[in-house]
Amino acid sequence: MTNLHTAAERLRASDPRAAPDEAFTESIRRRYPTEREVDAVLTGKMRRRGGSPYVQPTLEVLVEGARKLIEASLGYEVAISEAKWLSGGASKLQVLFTLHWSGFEGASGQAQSTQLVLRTEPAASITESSRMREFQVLRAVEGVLPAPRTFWVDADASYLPFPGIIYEFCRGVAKPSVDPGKVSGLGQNYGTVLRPKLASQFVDMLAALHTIDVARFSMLESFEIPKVGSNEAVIKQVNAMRRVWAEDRLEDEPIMEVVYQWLIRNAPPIDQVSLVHGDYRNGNFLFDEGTGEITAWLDWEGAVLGDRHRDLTYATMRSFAHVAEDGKTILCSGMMASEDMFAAYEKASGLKVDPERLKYYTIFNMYVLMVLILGAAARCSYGAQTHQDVLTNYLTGVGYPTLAELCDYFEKNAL
Amino acid sequence: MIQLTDTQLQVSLRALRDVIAPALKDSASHVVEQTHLVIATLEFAKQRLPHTRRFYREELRYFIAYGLEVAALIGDNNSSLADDIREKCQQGEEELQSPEADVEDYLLVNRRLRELISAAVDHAAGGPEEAALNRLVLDRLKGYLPYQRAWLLPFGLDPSPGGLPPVDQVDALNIPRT
Repeated sequence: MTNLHTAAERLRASDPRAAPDEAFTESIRRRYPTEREVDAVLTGKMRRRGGSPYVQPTLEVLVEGARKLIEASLGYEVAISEAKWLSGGASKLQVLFTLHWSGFEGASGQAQSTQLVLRTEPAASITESSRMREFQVLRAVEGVLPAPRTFWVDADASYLPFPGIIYEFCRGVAKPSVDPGKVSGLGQNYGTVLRPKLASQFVDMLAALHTIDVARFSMLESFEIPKVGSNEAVIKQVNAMRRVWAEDRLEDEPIMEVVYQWLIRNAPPIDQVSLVHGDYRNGNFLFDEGTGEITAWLDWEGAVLGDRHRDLTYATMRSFAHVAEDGKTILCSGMMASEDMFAAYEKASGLKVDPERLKYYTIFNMYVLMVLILGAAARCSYGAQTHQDVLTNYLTGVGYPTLAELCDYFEKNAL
Repeated sequence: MIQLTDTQLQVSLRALRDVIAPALKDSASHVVEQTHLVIATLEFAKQRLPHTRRFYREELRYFIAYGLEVAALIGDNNSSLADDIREKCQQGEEELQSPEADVEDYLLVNRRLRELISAAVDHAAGGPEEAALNRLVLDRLKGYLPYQRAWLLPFGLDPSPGGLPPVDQVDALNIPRT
């Protein structure tokens, strides 16, 4: 022991991830190759980490940045009013504001006011992601399922402190008034009246997303399009998560290496390329509580081109489910039993649900959750890198139960 | 010194629960949510602080035993890594014997041991001891996971809290080893 520092300081100083040097970052990049845009985002995160402590930008700074971004695009002056913080989500800063402008035609256009949302990043996120990819995917799904209409993107933070997008404000609530206390959708119960209305849309919209016209893939310039019959894209997606684990973890869990090796060795070839939401579950859509209509799907930052089973198994994870009123049925994402969801999905999409791929992506998604909760969320809080440190810290409470689930499932299906 | 850490947490929690949270109930939803999360976090600290040292000592003991098993398993094919693991286990024993050691000193050794065991898994991939090592890693984690889950129970996010060991009863905190 040395008396030069407190024990806590010694612990922090021993952490190679707290202020990583270029060689550390490069070694991880080389070891776990992934998509180019994902690589750029993760590398940026590592380079920021050793810098100044994160100070949350004020509302005024963000409004000013948004105004400059919009004016640079439109070529004329606009005004912003009624700006306020928007709650929701564990990872991004969101500001609701009213834009007073004259449309895309120019200053001589008709004066109008539009409610918009600025979605931008803190220094680090539980889900580090590309605003450009989020912008492109929102454009690609326009008219396919309800999602915010995008207006502008500041992909390289030319106007804002960090990259951001501006999209339309969507009406609706994320939590029902019968069960308003749940955090981030975990175990959200929509109640017996709303549930059947939401459940059918939940499945139909997933089917619509996965069968989107492939011509729209050309709008996804920041995405790599997988080859049918190849598992190369799957391996890159696994590597992206393995890389986050290598970059963010506070302490290792050796089972994560066991599971990673298995995921690489058993990556199935993609039989049909789908646009995958990546976070398709309760808590990530808005709805009208009166009509039961889903009004918008949110949180597209984890979207990829890949295998539909990734969304199917994510939506049916135990972490997002709750037990029905009968005391035994597990309602996936608060909607329906998994077998009912898969059957309804096959009917709606015309696509087969493959049991072997379900097994693979169940393990994959548990691995993803572990990386994000025990790795990224714990790192964000430890490093004081977000405006939601207290939430990301709290969410680690779901990490070990999910790890227990992963152990049990892996033992039965993979070991 | 009259000021115990526990007292600081107690007075903070009372103020937050009885005065601040009610006053903020009509604030923006993220303010209300963060206030409740702060209360939950301080409550977690208050419940776990008295047991922290014992918990991390037990965790280190567990990983020393686990590390020695891994070293024995890989020794023939990776003697260098096995030696590193044994050396770290020895350092862990010394920390456990030292009355001056802090919780973070236990964590420093524990975290290094975790990294070395993961490195063993990585190196064993495709080799003759891979299956046995993977089995060992899974079995040891399953033995310890109930304690990790129990430690985080105050957050209220575990869907199956029944049957987890009572971490807050210090005498019961005795992680099974092999």
